[in-house]
Amino acid sequence: MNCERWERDIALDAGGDLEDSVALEQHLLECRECAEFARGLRVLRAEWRQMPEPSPVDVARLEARVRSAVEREPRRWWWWLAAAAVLVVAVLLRPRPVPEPVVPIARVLPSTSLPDNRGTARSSKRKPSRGRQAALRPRQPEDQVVLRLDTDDPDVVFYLFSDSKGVSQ
Amino acid sequence: MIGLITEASKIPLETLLGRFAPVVLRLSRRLLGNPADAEDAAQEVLLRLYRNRGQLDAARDPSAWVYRVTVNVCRDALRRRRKTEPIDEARLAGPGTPEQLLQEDQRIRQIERALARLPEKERAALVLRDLEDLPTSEVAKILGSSEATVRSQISSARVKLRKWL
Repeated sequence: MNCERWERDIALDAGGDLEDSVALEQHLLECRECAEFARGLRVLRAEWRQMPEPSPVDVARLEARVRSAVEREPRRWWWWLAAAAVLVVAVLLRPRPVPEPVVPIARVLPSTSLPDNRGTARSSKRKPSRGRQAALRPRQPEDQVVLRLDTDDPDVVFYLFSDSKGVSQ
Repeated sequence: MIGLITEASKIPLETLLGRFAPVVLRLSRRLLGNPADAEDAAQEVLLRLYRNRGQLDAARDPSAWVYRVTVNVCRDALRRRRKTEPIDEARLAGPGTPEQLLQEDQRIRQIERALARLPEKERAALVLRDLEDLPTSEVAKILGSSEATVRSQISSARVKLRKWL
């Protein structure tokens, strides 16, 4: 009799994994080969279920190996601490952009728009003193050269005036 | 400081070893057969458990997690399995006459060899169901399979062992 199709059910039934065993039980009553197969499987299953436990010596050796391996492992929180320290140092020592030096800008301005020594605009109608009046020919605005030096402080501006006798400020 | 508190709240190494070293070594031996390979694999499993002991603490079913890690590590070990199979001297050194021990050892080794001949998934299913005595539903969860697949694997493995032994 070809009973291969029953082998699966016999194997499941041997471990209590067959949901409905009524048909199998009926077949085992009728088939000596399958009954022998089922009996042998139950004996064998009991045998392999009796496989020995590891001895305490084996377990102790394993535990010693694991302890030793754990001791050799670097502690993880040390790695995190070291990484955080490196990050802080890197932030502190990072290269910072150097501000560009402000180069004073010199400009030639028309003398009519310049402030006088008191801060008011120089008037082209200013009269020279009586003593100098004779020696000087009438001053023309185009005779003067005025340099304006801007600094990085908007409130500080230097003016350099030049006339025929040199430079005055 | 947070790290230190977390470290302190995790399961200590000695507790972890006491709870899981015997079961991990037993399962590794049953999955691999070779005691030397099994010890290497068990060490790897226990180190993984120790490194991830925070997850182990949080796991709803730590045993299932331990079984799953062991099965995975042994699966990897099978792929780089050693060819030699040294005699288990520790077992031969136990009580009993040398003849009895030799006879028992031969039978055990026959079963171990037969288990080793099974396809990887069938062996894992059979070991968890029959040797570790876990319910089929639990085996399915550990192996990431359906219960129907596990039943089919167990049935196939039992039939093969019956024919081989």
